[in-house]
Amino acid sequence: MEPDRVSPEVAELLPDYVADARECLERAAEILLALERGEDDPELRSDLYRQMHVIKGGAGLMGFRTVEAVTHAAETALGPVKRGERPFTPALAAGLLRAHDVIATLINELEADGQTRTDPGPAINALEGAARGEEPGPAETEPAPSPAEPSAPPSDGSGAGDDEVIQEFFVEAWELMEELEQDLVSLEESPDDTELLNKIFRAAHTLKGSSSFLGFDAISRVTHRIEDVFNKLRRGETVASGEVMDVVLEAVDRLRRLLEAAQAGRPGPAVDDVLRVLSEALETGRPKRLGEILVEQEGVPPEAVEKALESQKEGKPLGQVLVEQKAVSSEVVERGLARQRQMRRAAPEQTVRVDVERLDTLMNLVGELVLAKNRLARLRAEAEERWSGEKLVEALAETSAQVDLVASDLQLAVMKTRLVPIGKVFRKFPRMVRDLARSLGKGLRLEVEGEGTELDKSVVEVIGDPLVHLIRNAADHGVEAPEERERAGKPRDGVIRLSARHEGNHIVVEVADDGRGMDPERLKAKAVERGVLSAQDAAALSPKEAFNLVFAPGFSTAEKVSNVSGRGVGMDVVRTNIQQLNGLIEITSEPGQGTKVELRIPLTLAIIQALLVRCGPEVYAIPLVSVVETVRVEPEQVKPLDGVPVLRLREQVVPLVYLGRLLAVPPHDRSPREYVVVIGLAEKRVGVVVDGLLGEEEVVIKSLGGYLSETPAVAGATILGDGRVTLILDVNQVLELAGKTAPPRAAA
Amino acid sequence: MSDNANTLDQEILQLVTFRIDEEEFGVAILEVREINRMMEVTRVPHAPGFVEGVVNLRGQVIPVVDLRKRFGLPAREHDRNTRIVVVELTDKVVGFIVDAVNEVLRVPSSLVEPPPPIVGSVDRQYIEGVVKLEDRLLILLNLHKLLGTDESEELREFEP
Repeated sequence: MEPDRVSPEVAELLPDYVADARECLERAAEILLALERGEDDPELRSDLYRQMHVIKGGAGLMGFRTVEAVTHAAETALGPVKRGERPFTPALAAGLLRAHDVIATLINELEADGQTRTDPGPAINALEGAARGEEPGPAETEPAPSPAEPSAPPSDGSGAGDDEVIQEFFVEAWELMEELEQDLVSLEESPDDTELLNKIFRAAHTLKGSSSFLGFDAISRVTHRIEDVFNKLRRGETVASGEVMDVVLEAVDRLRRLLEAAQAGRPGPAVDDVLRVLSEALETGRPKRLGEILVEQEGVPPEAVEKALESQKEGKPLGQVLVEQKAVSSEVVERGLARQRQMRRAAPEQTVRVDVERLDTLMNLVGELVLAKNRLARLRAEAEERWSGEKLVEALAETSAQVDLVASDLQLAVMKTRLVPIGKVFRKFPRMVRDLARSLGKGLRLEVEGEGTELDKSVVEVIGDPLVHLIRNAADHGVEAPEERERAGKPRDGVIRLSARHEGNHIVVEVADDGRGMDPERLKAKAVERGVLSAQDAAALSPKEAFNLVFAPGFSTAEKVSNVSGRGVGMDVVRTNIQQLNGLIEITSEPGQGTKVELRIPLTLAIIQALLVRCGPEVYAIPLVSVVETVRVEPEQVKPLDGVPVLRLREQVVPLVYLGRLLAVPPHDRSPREYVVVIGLAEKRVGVVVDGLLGEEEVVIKSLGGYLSETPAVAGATILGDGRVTLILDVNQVLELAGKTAPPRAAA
Repeated sequence: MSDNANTLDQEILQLVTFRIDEEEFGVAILEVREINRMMEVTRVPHAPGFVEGVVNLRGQVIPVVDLRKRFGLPAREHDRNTRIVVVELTDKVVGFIVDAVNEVLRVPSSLVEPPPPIVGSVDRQYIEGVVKLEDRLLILLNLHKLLGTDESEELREFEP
C-alpha cells in the first residue's frame, strides 16, 4: 500500500486529527481490555465500533488511506460482533489490539514525519483472518438481533452499509438520550455526583462523535457544547446550578427534536440560539434573557414582561408578544435584541492550547513576583517602624497588602493552568498489564484509583517512567505464577493496584501488588553477592533498609533476565526520577502478602512554604511540608542515648542533630534557649537543633548552579524579603547525614 | 598608516584588568558580564575553601570565588575598592572577588607570550599567558581552570 502523506491542504488540521484519533484509540484500548476481561455488553461493542468509525471518518477526510484501510477492516470485523451475531473471540481481540497498535504507529509517524512508513497489510490480513476464522458458517441463526434494532436487515457480515450505520446510530442515539435525560434528573438531586457528571459527559461525547461522523452537523454541534458544559462541571469549574441545568435540559429537548427530524429525513430546527445559551452557561453559568435586558437597560416595566411571558404560549418570541401587546415599541425590542447579540458575541472561546514553554515562563515570572512581593512586605514593615503614622507609609502598606493578595492569587491561578490529571499517565497501564500478563503467562488484574488527581505537568512527565518500572516489577517479581498462588491459597489472578491521591502539599502515588512480597534476607544476600555492600554492613540493616537495596545501581533479584525486567536498571530510574522531583519513595512489604511502593511527590516544584531558622549568624529555610513540629527545649531535656543526643518527646525518642555542626557554621555564642525543629520523611524523624525560629516565608527554589549543586544537606537557595540569599535545607539529606553521625547500634 | 596596517593583520584583545595584591591580571572582556561593588555573601557549607559563598545578583543566585584564597594569598579585609567581577563561562555565571578593577585594555595578540616558569604567586596552570606592557606585566587568567571545571578540582567530600 502507498504510504500516506500529510498534504499541505490538511496540514493545519493534523494536530486536531491526531488528538482526536488518540482519544479514540485510548478509549478503544480500554474497551478491548474490558471485553477481554469478559465485561461483555452491547454498549461496549458499539462504542468500540464507533471509535473505529470516528478514526476512519477523519482519516478519509485527511486522505490517510492506510489508516482508513485498517480502521475499515476493524469495523468490518466488528460489525457482526456488535450486532450480537458472533461472539467476541480472543483471536479477534488479538487482531483488534494489533490493529490498534498499527493505527497508533501510523498516527505517530504522520505526526512526526508527515508520512507513514509502517505497512498496515499484515495487521489487516490478521484482522480479516480473525473475522473469518471464527465464522461458524453463514447459516448462523443463534442470537437473534437485539429487539432494539428491529429494522436492521439480517447481515451476511460482509461490511455494513451506510443505511444500516445510520439506523444503528438512531437506535443508539435514542438510548443515549433516554439515559441522558434520566441522568440529568438524578443530577438535580445530587449535583456533586462526579460519577454521574462523567457519565453524562461520556454520553454527550459519544453522541457527538457518531453524529459528526455521519454528518449530522447540528446534533454534533449541540452535543459538543453540552460536552463542554459537563467537562467544566466534572472538573468542578462550575456548579450544576438550576440555571445551568435549565439550559442543558433545553438543549436536550432541542436534540430530541433534531433527532426526530433527522430520522424522518426532514431539516431540523435551528440550533444557534441553543448553542449561544450553552456558551453563556459555560462562561457565567447563566445567560441573560431578552426580558431581563429590556427591564434592566431599556426601562421596560417588569410587569409588562411578566405578562408577555405568561401569554407566550405558542412559542412566539418574547419581543413579538411584547409588541403585539403594545407594551413596548418594536424599536425598543430591536435595540434589546441588538444588545443581546452583542453580549453573546463577546463570549470568548472556551479553551486555548498553550505552549508549555509559555506556561513555564509564566511560572518563573510569578516566582520572581513572589520574591519581589516578599521584599516589598519587608520594606513596608521597616517603613512602618521608622515613619509610623505617615500618610505615605499607610498608603504604601495598603498597596503592599494589595500586591500581596494579587500575587498569591496569580500564583494559584498560574499553578492551576499547569495542572493535569494523572489519568493521562495511568491510561496506558491497563494495556501494559494485559501484555505483561500474556508474556509472563500470569493472570493479572490492574485496579486503578484516583485518575482524576491533578498535578503539575512537569511532574506528570517525569512520573510515567518510574511507574512503568514499578508496574513491571510488580508483575514480574511480585505476582507469583498462577499455580504458586493456588498453592498459597490465593486467587489465581494477581492484582496490581495503582492509585493516586492528594495528601497535604503532596501527591501520593502507590503501586501495590498482592504477590509474594520481598524477603529482606534474600535481598541482603543478593546485595552482598553483587558487591553492593559488605556482609557486615548487610547484617546491620533493618528490613526497611534492606528493601531500599533494590535502588542500588546494578541490583536485580530476578534469577533470569526476562525481557520484562531483571536488567537492574529499572529501580535506578525510579529513584533518579523521584529524586529529581524532590519526592520520597517508601517500600513496605509483607512476605506472602505483597509489596507496596509509595511515591510522595510535592505538588509544585518551584514555590514552597518554608520555616526560617537561625543558626548563629546564619539563616536557613526548612521546607514546611517536612516540619512535623517545633519545640523549645532547655539543655537538661537533652540526654544522650547510645552516644547520640536525643530528645524525649511524649512517647517518642527523637535523635537530635545540631545544625551548626552539620553545616559547619563558624563558632558563635550558643543561645541559652535552643529550639528543636522536628523534621520527618516517611517513618524517619530527626530533631534539628537551631538557635531561633524566625517565621514562615514563601520561597522560590533556585539552584545553586552546577558548580555548587552537590553541596550536602542543601537543596537550593532562595532570596528573602531582605534581599539576602538563604539556603534551603535538603531534608532528605539531613536525615541521611544524621543517620551517619549516629554510631552503629552494634557498638553499644 | 603603518599603524593601521599593523592592526589589520593582527587580532586585538580587549581585556578587563584587575589587581590582587601587587599583581595585575587580565581576562577577556567577552567573558566578563559585569563588575559590581562588594555584596553581602551567604556562606555555603562544605563548599571548597576558596568559594566565598553565594550572592543575589538581581534575583539570580550565583557563587562567588575569592581569588586571593584561590591563589593561596593571605585574606584581606574588603574595602571600598573591592569588586566582584562577574563572568560567564559556558553556561555558568560566577563572581570573582578582586582587590580592585583597573581598566579596560586593548592589546594586540602578538604581545601575548607563553607563561614563564614562575609567575609571582600564581600557579602556572591557571595562566594562559603574559602580556608585557611598557611598564608592567599583565597575567592572563584561564578562568575555566580556575574554577576547576575541567574536573581537576572537585568539591570536597563532606565528612561529618
